[in-house]
Amino acid sequence: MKKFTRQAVWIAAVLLTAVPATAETLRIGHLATMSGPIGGLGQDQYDGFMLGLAQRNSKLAGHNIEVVRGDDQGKPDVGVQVAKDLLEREKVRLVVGITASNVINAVFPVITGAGIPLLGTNGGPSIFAGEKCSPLFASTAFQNDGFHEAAGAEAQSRGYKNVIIIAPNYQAGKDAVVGFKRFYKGAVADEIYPAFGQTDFSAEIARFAASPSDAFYVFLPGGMGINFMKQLSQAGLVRKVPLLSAMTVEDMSLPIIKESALGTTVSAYWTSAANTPQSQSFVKDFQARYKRTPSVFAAQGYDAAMLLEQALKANPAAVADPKALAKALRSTKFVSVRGEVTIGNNGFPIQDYLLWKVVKTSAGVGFEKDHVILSHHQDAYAAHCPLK
Amino acid sequence: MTTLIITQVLNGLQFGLMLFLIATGLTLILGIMDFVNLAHGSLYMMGAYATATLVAKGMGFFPALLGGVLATFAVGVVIEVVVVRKLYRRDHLDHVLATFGIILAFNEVVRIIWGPVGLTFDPPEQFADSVDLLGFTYPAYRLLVIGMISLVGAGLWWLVTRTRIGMQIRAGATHPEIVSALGVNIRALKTTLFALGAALAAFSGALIGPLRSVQPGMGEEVLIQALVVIIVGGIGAIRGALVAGILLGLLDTLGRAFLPLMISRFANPEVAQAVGPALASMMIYLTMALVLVFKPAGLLPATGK
Repeated sequence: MKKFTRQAVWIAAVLLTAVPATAETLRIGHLATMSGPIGGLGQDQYDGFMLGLAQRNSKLAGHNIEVVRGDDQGKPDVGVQVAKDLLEREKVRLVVGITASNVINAVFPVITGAGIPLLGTNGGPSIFAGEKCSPLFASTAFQNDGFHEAAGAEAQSRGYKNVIIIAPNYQAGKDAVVGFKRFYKGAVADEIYPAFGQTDFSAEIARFAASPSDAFYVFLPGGMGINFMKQLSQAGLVRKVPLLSAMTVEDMSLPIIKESALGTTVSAYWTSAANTPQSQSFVKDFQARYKRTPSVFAAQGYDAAMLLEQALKANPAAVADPKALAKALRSTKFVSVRGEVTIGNNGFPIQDYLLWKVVKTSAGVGFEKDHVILSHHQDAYAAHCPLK
Repeated sequence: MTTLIITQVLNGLQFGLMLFLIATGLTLILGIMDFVNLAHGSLYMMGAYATATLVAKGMGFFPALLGGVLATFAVGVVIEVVVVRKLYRRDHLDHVLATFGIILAFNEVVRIIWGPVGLTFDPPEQFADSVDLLGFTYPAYRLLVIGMISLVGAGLWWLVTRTRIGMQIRAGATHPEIVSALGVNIRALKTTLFALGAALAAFSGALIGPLRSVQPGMGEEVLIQALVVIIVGGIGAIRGALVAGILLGLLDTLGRAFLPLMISRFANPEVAQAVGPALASMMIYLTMALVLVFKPAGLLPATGK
């Protein structure tokens, strides 16, 4: 009898606290590049998002969350196929993630066209930030130009007159240079476009050494940046001329680049050295769970869980209505690991971009916050987006 | 400008010698054993990972390099005995399928053991910085690479042309039945040759480690370039691989360095910025196409057969 009473109390307690009367299950599709050369990025987006959910026992604002994982392999055609599968067979009511810009270009119309909201956790190309913006899209990451606009603004405010720029020979590389020049008004000593995925930069580095310049601007994401920084350091050029980079020296590549990046500066809105309380506890929890330092991609994924929770709290009924969910995601001012962030009319965040220094730390080499370059920065394409 | 040209020529030479070293193991196996080994790039990756692991365990650069090469030699023996040996009598498509399978398996194994993010290791202390060479500086490690590949290349030439085992290898390629009738263990000879190719691949992978990150899939790009080198040089020819390697290395490097500048002489800067890099990255493939049209057997084809 006593045992029965205890069980009954337990059952009652569980029923009362954990399951509110309106609890529903929200099925989410997480679509990202989980394999191939940039598979590490998608893994971090996913791990960050899942950490946010796990901390809340997979319940946001009282609703159960189920996540179905998809891998687009960095290929647009695979992305479209997996997205359709998530929408039609898995019946997800929200898609989170997307790693590569070329995949977004392909899956964005598929997902929003099906009336399902897309919550992006990595960069976004200009095309969906401007005229083709959608009321079903929100992002916890950045519009692709942001990093480069901030870097250009920094170069301009330091008074540089003659900068060498290096970026990969593909669309995002050309966009990076356009973004940089939008704020930097000085001369460009040389623009170097190595092939995307190039591993040896000896010829490019010799061009760096040969043209007189007062600063280097480097945008070489992923493995390219690691190789370039190491080789530049071996050529003795790293601390000779001020070096500013974006999406090149970051938390994923720095443990490999190490001392070769010391003394350089980085344009980014977040690094693992960010000192907001949310950020510090996120870094600690991520390290405890996954045994590695989170990258900005993990932070963007984690922030997606934060935004989703706050949006569902603001409008609990949105869980059953995709349009209302998208609206809640876009209108919620949410507390992220980078502080308070608002979502602009085109779905991209309006946020601060900061300058970080690469310094020696007790654990090796890390980042140190220097100053805010652009405050409450909104991308240049928002003005072309007809949405309010 | 002169120092820039000298620097770029040195860069091209270093890249070319690297191409030669990677291609030479592939060309030996293809030319002498008539076996298409797409897994050559995977062995290159194994060498780099093995060396990186040994360096991370606290070993010095040179002992780790030797360890990485020996470990990959052993891996080569295993692959030959388990997979490759059964395929010699089959046609080339079967070679391609089997070794392509090995590539996929190796990439996944590497990902499981070492993770998706790359490793790196530093050059030996004495070669970490750049040195002064008559008025310009050059990374010391790249000079070391030039020196070490030259030594290994010379040793390989000596092994194949001046020693008994080299004689057996060359004879075994053209007349396997006669060689085995003379009492040479042709099976063991083929295993040795395959493993030697693996060791050469590993040596290049280990040398490249301090320059590039060591990561899953690093072998594929190199494999394509190595195939271009052996097509241009002539299949099976070490001398051809040397000439083609240096030629393509110089073309690629000088193209990347000077093509955009040259094009901007007679086109506006925007066109030059668009055409230059694209053309530069096509240089070695354009050269291959030209060689295939005018000298289909390659620049210096092997004379043995």
